[in-house]
Amino acid sequence: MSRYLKLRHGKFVTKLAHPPLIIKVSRVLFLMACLVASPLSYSMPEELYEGMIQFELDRGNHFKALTLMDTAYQDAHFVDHVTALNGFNINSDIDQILRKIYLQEKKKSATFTSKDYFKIGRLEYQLGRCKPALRAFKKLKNKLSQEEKQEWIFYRSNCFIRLGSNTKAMQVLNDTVGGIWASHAYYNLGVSYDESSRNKSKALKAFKLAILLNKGKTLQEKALKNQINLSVGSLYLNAEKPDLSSSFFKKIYLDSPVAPQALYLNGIAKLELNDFRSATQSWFSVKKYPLVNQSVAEALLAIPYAYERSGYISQALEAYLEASNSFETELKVISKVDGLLKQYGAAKILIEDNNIEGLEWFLAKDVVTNTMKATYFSYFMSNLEIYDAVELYSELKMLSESMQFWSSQLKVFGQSLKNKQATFTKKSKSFSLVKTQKKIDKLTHRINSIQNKKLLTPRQIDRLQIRTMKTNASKLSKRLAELKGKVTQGRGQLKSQFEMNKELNQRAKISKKQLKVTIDKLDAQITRLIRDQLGVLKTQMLANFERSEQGLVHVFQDIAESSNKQKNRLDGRYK
Amino acid sequence: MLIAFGASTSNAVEPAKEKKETKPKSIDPALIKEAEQLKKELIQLNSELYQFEEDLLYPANTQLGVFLSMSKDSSFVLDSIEIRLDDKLVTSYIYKDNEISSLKNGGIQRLYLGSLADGRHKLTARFNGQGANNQYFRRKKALPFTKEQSAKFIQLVVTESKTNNEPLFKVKAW
Repeated sequence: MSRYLKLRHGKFVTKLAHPPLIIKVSRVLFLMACLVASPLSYSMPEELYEGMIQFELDRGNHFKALTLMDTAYQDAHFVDHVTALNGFNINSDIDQILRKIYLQEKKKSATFTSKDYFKIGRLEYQLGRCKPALRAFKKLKNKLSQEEKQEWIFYRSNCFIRLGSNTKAMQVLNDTVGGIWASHAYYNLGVSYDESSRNKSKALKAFKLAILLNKGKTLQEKALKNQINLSVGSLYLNAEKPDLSSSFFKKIYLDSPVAPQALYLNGIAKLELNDFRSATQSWFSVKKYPLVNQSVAEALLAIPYAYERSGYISQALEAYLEASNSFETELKVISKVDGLLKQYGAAKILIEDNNIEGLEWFLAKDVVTNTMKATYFSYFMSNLEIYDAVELYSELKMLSESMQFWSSQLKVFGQSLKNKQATFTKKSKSFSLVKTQKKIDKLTHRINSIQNKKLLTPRQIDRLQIRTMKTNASKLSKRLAELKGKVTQGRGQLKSQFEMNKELNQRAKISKKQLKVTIDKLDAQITRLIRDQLGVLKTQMLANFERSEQGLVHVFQDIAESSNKQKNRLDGRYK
Repeated sequence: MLIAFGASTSNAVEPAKEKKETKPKSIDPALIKEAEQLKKELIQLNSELYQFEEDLLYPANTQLGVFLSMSKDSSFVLDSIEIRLDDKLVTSYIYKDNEISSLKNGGIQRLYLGSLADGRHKLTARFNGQGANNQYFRRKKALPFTKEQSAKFIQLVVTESKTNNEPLFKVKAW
């Protein structure tokens, strides 16, 4: 029970019978106590505070982790600080902090856990610095859980691949037991072997191990499995083993992003086996995917080629015309998207929700489940420069929204402080410290005068509890003096909270303005990057269009040249 | 035609290889620097704003914080949690995989922060999830407590019984 409640319901109150005065003192004291409450920075046990930061860090909410970290925490936990900064893409201070970490390590002025070394290694790896990454990873062997070990093996093998040693990467991978990390690592090793060696057997072995270790249950595992199957199929196709390649292409799911490529390559494999019918069937199924994928364009051009080879000239002509029309339509779409980008900017057209008139067509669904907007968005995001820029845009937008939120919160706080001040003033007015002190003095005087009466025997004094009343009156006097201090302190606290509210509001306003300027600049640059990328697509589409037109001309020429030799080439059959 | 098609075929059959492309123009480094500086300032401002909010709305003498942690060896997969204060639902949370793994790695989640008057209160936590052997669990843990003139922190801890592998829900008051 609080001391205020004790005061209200205790002996002192009932015996002295001055409830109004006591209640007033208690209420004002409580109000003051609320106002002067300790404003300690994250006034919670250290274990909870540090655990909260760890939770945010581990779940990837680096912004929240950074807002929670005070300077003392940052200085005591360089590794966490640098991890959070990297996670929120603030890279300017990273090298400086890493240097401090390495210095501490050298001087042995701080202890680093295996978790810390893991974070350092991962960070260095992400920054593309494999040697320091490997040094950090080396320090935590045998201190890892089974799950962590898989991740550790992945990073180490990738580092060796980046450093050009596939053999060492393979050795590292010998420790692996399975899982998605191992599957990724073997896949990367397979790609590396494929690129660096003429002998493809090692690449094939790595790819096959990657497939074996992949359970293909989760979305991530399925996506990787599709990618591996595509790579193995392509490898066999390059090695002039189209029959083997086809079996891998067929394993790829039709909803995978690599499905158009797989279907197109499957057609090529069939073509090499002189199975024109199957080749055409495979390419026909690519047609339902968006044309921004070059495999779709290639399939559109490959269909008439197969018809032509089979002797179906009229179908070849039709297919060329269809391809030509498709490319022409896509060129119109590209021009339209470019015009919209120029007019409104990338943020409005691609990143944010909008209500711009005339944009409905762009958001309309195409034959696949994706919208046109999603198709183009994915195409642009495949460019890492654009991806990073859009990520930065999203981060700044998130900060802008947080400022918006705080602005409205600060308004509410301001109003609440005004109300608090009004209550405080009202209570202060109705409660006079001077008058109360006088009352207490009068009370003390009366108690003293009763005590001094010579007629009272010591027994009577005891029965009247004179001494208790005297003690309590002096306590009350003391409490009133305390209250006086708290009133002054509370007034000061309220004033400082008002000022703080005003200052924070001002800073939030300035930040919002600065954010808007930076976001606008970024939008302009993203628009430029995307329009450049669109230019590349336009060039590619124009080339496709020209190829289809040339194909048409070629077929016509062929017909003209062969009309004397062969009366009707339309009677051709599949070979 | 054959040459053109042949060229496209040879390009297409090499999906694993990176295609040589002209280096795309990138974002102006000065703008990235400006954005980073702004981010740093806003982290600081957000931190101060959270602090100000906490001081104003949940002063130390009335503050109640409810936290959740999980032991590393716990096989319990927490789906969701509901927190009731004096039989009134104050917060609930649905967990993602990465959050569970973060809790098992030593992370502590602040589930609730509020202001509470002095006196006796009751905190009830309802845990929903799957334990060992994919057994579904729905457990309630009640904690009567007394709020005094200082901040109160209650930590809910999910552990596991070593004998039957059943999840155990403990409470630690700070």
